[in-house]
Amino acid sequence: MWIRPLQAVPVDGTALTLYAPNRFVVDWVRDKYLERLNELVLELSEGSAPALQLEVGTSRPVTSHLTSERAASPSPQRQPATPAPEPPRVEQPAPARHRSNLISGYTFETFVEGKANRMAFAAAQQVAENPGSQGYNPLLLYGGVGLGKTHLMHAVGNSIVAQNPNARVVYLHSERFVQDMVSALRNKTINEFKRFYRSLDALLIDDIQFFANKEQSQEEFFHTFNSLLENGQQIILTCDKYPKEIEGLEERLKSRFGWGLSQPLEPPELETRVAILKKKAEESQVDLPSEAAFFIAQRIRSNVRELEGALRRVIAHVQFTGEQVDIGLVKDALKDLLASHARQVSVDNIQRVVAEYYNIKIADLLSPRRSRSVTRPRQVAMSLAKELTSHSYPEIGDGFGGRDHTTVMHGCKKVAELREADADFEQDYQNLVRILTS
Amino acid sequence: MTPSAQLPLPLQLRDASSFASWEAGDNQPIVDGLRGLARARKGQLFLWGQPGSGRSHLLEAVVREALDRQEQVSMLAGTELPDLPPSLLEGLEHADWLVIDDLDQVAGLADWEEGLFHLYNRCLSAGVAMVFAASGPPAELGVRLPDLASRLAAGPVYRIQPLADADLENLLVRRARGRGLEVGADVARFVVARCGRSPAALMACLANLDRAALASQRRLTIPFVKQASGW
Repeated sequence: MWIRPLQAVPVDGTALTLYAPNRFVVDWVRDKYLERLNELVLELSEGSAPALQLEVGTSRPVTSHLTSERAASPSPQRQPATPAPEPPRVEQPAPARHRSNLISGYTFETFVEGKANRMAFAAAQQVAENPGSQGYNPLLLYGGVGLGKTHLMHAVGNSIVAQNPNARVVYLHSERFVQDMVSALRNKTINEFKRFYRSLDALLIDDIQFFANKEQSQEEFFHTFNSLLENGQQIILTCDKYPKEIEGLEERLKSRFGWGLSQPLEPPELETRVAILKKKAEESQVDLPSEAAFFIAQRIRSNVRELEGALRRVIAHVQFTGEQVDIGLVKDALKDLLASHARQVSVDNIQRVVAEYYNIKIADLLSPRRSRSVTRPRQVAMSLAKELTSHSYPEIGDGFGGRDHTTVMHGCKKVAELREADADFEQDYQNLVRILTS
Repeated sequence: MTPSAQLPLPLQLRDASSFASWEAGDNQPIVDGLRGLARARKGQLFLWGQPGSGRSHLLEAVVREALDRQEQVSMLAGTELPDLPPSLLEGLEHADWLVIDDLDQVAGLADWEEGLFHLYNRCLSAGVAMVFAASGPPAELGVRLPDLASRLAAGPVYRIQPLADADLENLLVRRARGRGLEVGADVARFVVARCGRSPAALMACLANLDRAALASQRRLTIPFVKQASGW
């Protein structure tokens, strides 16, 4: 099925090059299909068959940030599937100009600020105003998936370029850095690779956790990192956790990542989720009433990416039916998603996840035991059941070994107090919400 | 075999998987969403439904139309992937479309999940339109890499709603006509009530009946269907 990406390019009328996306496909096609392809070509060409050759490459312009001269844009120029007239580029040395890879829509203006990301947002703005300044270099943004790390990082890059159009800013995913380095080693262009990365005014690398266990890439990145830092060039990194917690990352890198400013991004609270929905709906010119926004935000709480995915589904529904958005329409458009969430946040599942988290037995949660090691997780589970499901206090009491509804109310009150007073407790609670809703 | 029996040829024309031959029923918004994706030429869509619900038909329709427009498509069948190396994902972003069916087949395989995550990022950055299909919604596939799971849910997620009996009957009549067979409303109702209520099961039934009708040179009547299907 994956033979489809083969692209044919005629060469001088006597040969036909078939470009495959990678070495694996080349070998596969050569082993299994080349003979048949040759027969077909012979049949179709009525005797004067061009010679077939298989290569890794593409008939369309390569969009590497090192080779493309196009302006930064999230949607690169497209080419028709017919063979391009100019010779295809397979692997090329880096020219003088660069591609920033910055997504123009990711700016500070389109970022919705809230309690959970206020510090990270402020730090990003500081860096955008004074790139390379001590104390903010590197800027490390960390947190779970879909919380806006990449958006903020691009916002800094876009702001730097807006203030200084000649600034050499490059965004790339850590995987791309690794791939570019591997290609540079293979093509013996490692010196150009080094020169390129060390000449930037700002280097933005996303998801550095994927450097884990890639020793050679870490080594190269370490030197690039030092060089940029010594010359006061800005580095911005994102990571899914605090770097010290990444296994397979060299200690010296972990330590250096912490030299500047590290800021966490937390899951947005309800009001911010509502604000995000309203803003995104407005961008799509869809009128989203507040009660509908609240309805979605109360149910999709894990991360912004999935929240926006749900909104896109609602918008698609609006565009299909031509109706106005209200809670009924949202329920209809998201019924399968909500059903899926409901399956994940059933009382049974909450008990299972909480028991696992606190390393106790589910039976303990349901038992009459009142030791503190059991009572606290039980209260947490009850509180989560109240917050994440639509069950009433009496129903939750029934689900916990037939307890009275006043016991559940007391448990929820106790949990609310502890969340205010104890940061560790609050962290545990948020972790559980995340596990249950993502 | 009776002397009058005619041996059916083993060659069976596969019904063309196109949007036109798709019995949408309540699933018209999916067709609309896929068409919207084709117009925008970027973005993503996630489809899920039980096996036999028509997922592959829809994906093939997307691919067929894209190829008709001279667009390039990278298409992967999840069922084939676990035995292959994830390095085959390299370079697939040099296309207009990335289409992956049966994504659940690679859920839980760490190297495939990471490979798909990187491919997703490259496609997003290159503006490749992406369509994914699986037997369940993104959160229930068993994907362990949260980065990948959340990206799969970043666009509209559609469930292929099971077809109502009337839609299944229409589908049977239409597809039978495509094979040159006339199926009356009463026969369609009879077949739908007895064979599994998925388009795939119905099509398997139709293929059997087609073969039997051709072999015995009979029209599709209820008594003949009963006899041919052993109901």
